[in-house]
Amino acid sequence: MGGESNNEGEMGLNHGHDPSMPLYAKADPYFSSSDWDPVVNGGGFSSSPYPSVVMDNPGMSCFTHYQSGSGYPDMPASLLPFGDCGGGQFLGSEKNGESVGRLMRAGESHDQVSDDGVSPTRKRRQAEAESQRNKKAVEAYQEDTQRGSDQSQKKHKDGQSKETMNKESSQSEEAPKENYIHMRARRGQATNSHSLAERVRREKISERMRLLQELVPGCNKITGKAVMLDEIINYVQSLQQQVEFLSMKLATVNPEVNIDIDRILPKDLLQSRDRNTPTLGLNPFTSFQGNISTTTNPQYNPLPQTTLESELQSLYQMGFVTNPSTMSSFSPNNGRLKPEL
Amino acid sequence: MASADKPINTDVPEKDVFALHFLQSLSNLRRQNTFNSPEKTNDRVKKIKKAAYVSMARAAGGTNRLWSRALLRRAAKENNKVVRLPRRKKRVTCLRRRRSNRRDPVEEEEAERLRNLVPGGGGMETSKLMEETAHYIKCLSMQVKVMQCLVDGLAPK
Repeated sequence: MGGESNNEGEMGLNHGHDPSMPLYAKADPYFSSSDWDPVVNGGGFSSSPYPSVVMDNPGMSCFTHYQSGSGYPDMPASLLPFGDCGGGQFLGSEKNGESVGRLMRAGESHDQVSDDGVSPTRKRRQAEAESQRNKKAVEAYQEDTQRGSDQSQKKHKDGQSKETMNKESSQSEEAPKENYIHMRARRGQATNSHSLAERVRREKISERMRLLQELVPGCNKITGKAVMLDEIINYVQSLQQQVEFLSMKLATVNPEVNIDIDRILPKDLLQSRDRNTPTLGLNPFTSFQGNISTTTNPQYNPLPQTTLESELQSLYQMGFVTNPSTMSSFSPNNGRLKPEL
Repeated sequence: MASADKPINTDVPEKDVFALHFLQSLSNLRRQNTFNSPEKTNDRVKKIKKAAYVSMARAAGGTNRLWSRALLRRAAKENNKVVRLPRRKKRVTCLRRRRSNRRDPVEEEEAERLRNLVPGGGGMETSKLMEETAHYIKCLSMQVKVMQCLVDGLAPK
């Protein structure tokens, strides 16, 4: 690992450094990960720790505020001034009794709140902060582009760090329910705002991919996002083609059949209301075409023809009866009832 | 992992809701007299297809889903009608996160293709896009079933 010359005498803090550490990790005086445990970390600290420093706001807690609009900023320039601010920043954050998390907008998935108590972690970090501050300036700057590989590594280490975190959990600290969803970096995870956000985002996406996997037939064995996405795209395309094909069929069939849908529709609605049967939408076809095989709609209960005719006649005189109200009972949007076409 | 995410809701109404909407739009089409006059099949096909999509959008999501709103808006624009859709609360935050969250070039190409397929996909984050895709797939399959039943019902004996 390059640039580790200053490691001797350290409490094993920099063991986990690999050359792919980002720029500002080195320059950060408060360099630490969230669940820093110097005792355990003899050799196991494999993931690269990200700085837990405030980017723009000195008064904030040690975990940076999530800034949605920013890309990867030029960290070193903004971080160096913090080198002189001593433990004051940490103390200021300790007054904040809430969980030290990344504040994210509501609607994001909640990353697993690490179970470590807040204060022991912070005190440990405070002790480290002094010794680390001198080292950071010396370390070499890493490439920012290597961050991409880092992200993927971290995700792999997610699984590993989970067990250690569970063992070490003392008490869980519940984040107060606000609009913001507090997030904690997991043990051995980077606490940079971007990495946390990236992780959350990736988890959300994988969760939705699982959902889609159940929808698309025959995708249970497929693993991997790219292949899965291909399948989804193909499926959506095939569905759209089916719609087009069926509409073509309907266009050729339609003018030949003399159905008076106006007559039939209100009957359906009224009947479904009265009898509370939910599946009467396609029953008209059983009435005017007596030999329709009901195998295509097995769940529909075909009504006897005699009652249909009589009801048809009575309803025909009424015309479109209470269409809007029946529409509102079915459709989710009450505002616009008339189709635009 | 213990996430505080609300469960993703991809419920879709029953088949009869779709059937109802579709039949209504079809009956409206008939009333417009376009079917009585001898017409090229292509125009009829397009009209029916459009009716199918619009009725699906209305039946399934109403104005609660991004893709249905986009669909309805697109259809209204073709008719030169103005559509007023109620604003969603979260719109602003969605737009704000757009720039920062669309990364990871590996899946972004696929996401681009998906965005072209799903109506209204251009303005969505990837995670939101996938949620909408799931709902869209469900609604599409429901609509296909309805149309298939219709065709079977109307098929010459």
